[in-house]
Amino acid sequence: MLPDASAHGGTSTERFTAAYRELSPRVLGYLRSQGVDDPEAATNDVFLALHRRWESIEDGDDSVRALTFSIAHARLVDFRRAQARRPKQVPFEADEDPRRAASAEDAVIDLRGGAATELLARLGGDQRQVISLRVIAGLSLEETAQVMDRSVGAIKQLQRRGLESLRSLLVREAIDV
Amino acid sequence: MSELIDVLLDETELHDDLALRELLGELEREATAVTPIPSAALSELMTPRRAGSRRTTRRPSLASRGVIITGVVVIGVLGFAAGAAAASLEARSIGAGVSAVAHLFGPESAAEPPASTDRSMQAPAIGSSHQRPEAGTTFDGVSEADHASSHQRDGSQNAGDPNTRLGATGSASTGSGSSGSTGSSSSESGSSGQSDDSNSGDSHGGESSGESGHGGSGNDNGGPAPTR
Repeated sequence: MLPDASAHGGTSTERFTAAYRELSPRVLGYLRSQGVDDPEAATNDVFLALHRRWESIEDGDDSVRALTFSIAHARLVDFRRAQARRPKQVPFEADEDPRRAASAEDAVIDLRGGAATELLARLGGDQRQVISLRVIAGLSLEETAQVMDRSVGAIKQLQRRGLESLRSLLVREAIDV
Repeated sequence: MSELIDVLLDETELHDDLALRELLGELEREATAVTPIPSAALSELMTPRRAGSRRTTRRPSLASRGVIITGVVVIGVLGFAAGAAAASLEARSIGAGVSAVAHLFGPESAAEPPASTDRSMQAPAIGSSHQRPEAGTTFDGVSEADHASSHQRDGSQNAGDPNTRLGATGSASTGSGSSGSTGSSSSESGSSGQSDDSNSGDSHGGESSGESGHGGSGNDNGGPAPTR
């Protein structure tokens, strides 16, 4: 968790730096799991926006975490709106063609890393967001409902469906392997 | 963060699914493995600012500037006075130099000479006609009549300029032989050159007794030359 400013006697800059070290990997992972084009730049934008509101935060590290991912979720919504207005144009690259059969080395690498993130990417939009906010961001049920502007019951339903989908995907992958 | 995964599985009543727990743990590790490099603007915000890093040029206060200006003025006046004391034959001390400098800028300086009690200031005035120590004594082998004749010209022509007067006195002492006064002083060359035609060095010697009275009248005409 984030260091307590009063306990450590740190300045505002030190507390912000500690918050960045704690939360920036999670923000980056959350934005990457949602398919943002440039997650590193979006993470920097999130923390720049957080710094503008930094002096007004008084409730502690939980509010810092919730506010940070609220900003990140707002950036994600902006990204999706911009993506909907202008379809993404990607040049053809043979290595990224899904019709290509993976080599044995690629299969081993895929098995060792990135499999969980890839399984998460197969979920639907809202389920993926809820699982990401709960697991990657570390938000509670209420904080997730606050960030997504949904009720707690709706979040519960989404996370249940999301976890069941993940389990079914995991079973299917195990059968295929 | 594993506690949060346990809570999540408990909320969904899937806490006995170990494969799903493993998957969620792996998902968390993959997503949080990379720490992004902060941008330049963000690094600037996270850099602790030292107290001395913000260095501002502090101007001295008005009182300090006044003290500095006063000190510079005093030092300048003293230096100017020392220069004047060194350059003048009459002022041999800085105090006398200060008075001489003050006398230069005073409006009444041309009318009356400054009252000086310094003996060193009177010593160079021996060559002048109105402070001669003894009547009849000679100065550098020149008779008093020669001084009188020379100061007659001096009093009538250059009574106000002590430097010129001193030069004329020196010219009389050297001019006792022949015609030394013509080339003795550059400041005198214009006027005394003409008078030298009528009063040559030879005529000085011959008219010494007769022109002694003219010497006194020369003093009266010329008036007291200001001594500095």
